[in-house]
Amino acid sequence: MHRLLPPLLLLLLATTPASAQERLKLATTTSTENSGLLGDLVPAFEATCGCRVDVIAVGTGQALALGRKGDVDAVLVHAPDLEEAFIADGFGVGRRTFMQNDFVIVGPKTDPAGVRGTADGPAALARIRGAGASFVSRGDESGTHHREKSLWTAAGEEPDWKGYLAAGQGMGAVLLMAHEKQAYTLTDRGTWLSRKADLDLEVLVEGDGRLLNPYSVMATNPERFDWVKRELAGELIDWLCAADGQRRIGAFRVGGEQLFTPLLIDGD
Amino acid sequence: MGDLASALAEALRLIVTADADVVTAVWASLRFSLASTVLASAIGVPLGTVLALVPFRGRRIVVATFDTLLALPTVVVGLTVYALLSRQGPMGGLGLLFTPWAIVIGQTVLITPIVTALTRSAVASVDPVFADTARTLGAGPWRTGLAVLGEARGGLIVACGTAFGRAIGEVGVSMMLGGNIEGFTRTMTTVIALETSKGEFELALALGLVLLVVAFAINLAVRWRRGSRS
Repeated sequence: MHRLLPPLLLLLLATTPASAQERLKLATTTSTENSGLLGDLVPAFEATCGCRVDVIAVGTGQALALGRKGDVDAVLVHAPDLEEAFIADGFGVGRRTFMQNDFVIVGPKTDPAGVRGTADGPAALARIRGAGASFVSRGDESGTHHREKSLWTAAGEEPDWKGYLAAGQGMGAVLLMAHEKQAYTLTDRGTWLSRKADLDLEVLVEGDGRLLNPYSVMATNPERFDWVKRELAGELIDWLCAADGQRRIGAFRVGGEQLFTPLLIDGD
Repeated sequence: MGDLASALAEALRLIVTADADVVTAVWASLRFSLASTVLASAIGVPLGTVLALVPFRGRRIVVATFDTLLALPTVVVGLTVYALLSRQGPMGGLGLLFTPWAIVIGQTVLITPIVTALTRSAVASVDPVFADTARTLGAGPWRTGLAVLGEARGGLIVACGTAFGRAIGEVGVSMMLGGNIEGFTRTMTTVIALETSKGEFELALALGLVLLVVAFAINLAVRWRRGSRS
């Protein structure tokens, strides 16, 4: 072993990527990463800026927490009221809302709570609770979980019945749980579309304005954290909001379906 | 059963076709865990030897502390090192968070207690007559320690191997400190966690099998070297 160690260490040093290119750290949500959208956008942006983007995909709660510590240069999330607090508390600057999709409530085809065709999200949740049906919640302070909580508040109900299961897992895993338990759940349409082939569930509630899911991008505040790369973050924000980025968002398809709607460009 | 069978088939496919993403992740896992094992051994082997051979006041407490640290949850190590490496933390100026170095530091903290505790136990189980004989023959404390270590080398290999296994199999430290950045800090275990969160259980399971195959190959290699020497 002793004779092996020096060459091993050399190997390690030799293969650790040199930091020739500037690296931008972007904290974001699992939905943009898991759907493959960032895999499409990031290389295109990297080519124009000549930099590298380190995508750190976590829940919205954790992404904003990383921003509040100044450990990332930019944040791309989907929880408007948390974002506004983030800006108001002086942690973020240059926020732009640049795309959206929507949430839907999916559930078993038998629909034991009878919510099919309801357009009112909070009323549907209240009916699921009233019927004592099973509901799987993300329970992880993600953007989706946050939206679910505000829907419960709008419904004037507490999610505290026996059939309410807080999973603490990602959207894909929660959809599988709902499938296994034939339960209802709230999901973003993108993840639903990419997973629905394996799921014995269907969309039961959609079209409520309160189910719209806008995504925003912002830079961490250089006045508070003097090490953040404000200029590079600004380039990313501008690129996402300009024609090139917006067109790519509109053209992005999974299984032939558009997952995100660009908000700053007409049509696509 | 269907899941397991198709995961096995998928694992075979990933290995046979040398899937580029998997190769990158395997390579990252190997580099980070080897580096942390080397660092942890450099700290843990001398420390464990001293704990076994040098009596001092409070030694039991120190030994008990290291044995207790074996139970450290990886996420707790991740959180602790995060606090150190975060930009506003004591070592924030180095800018190491979300780089491979952060993972190596976190894993070193995680597995140094393993190397220390197992080294101590291996050295302590060498017959004391051996050390006495070395001293009678005129060996100083350094030579005596080295002689006892040589006698305990089987246990040392187990110590380093166990530590390496823990490092390459852990996910909490790599995820928290590395950030699972594609092509940079994405390792086998963070890919597995990512695919699981996406609900891609079969792919995750297949990747788990690939990781086991890699670990198995390394164990075989180490054993083969041991065997060829004795």
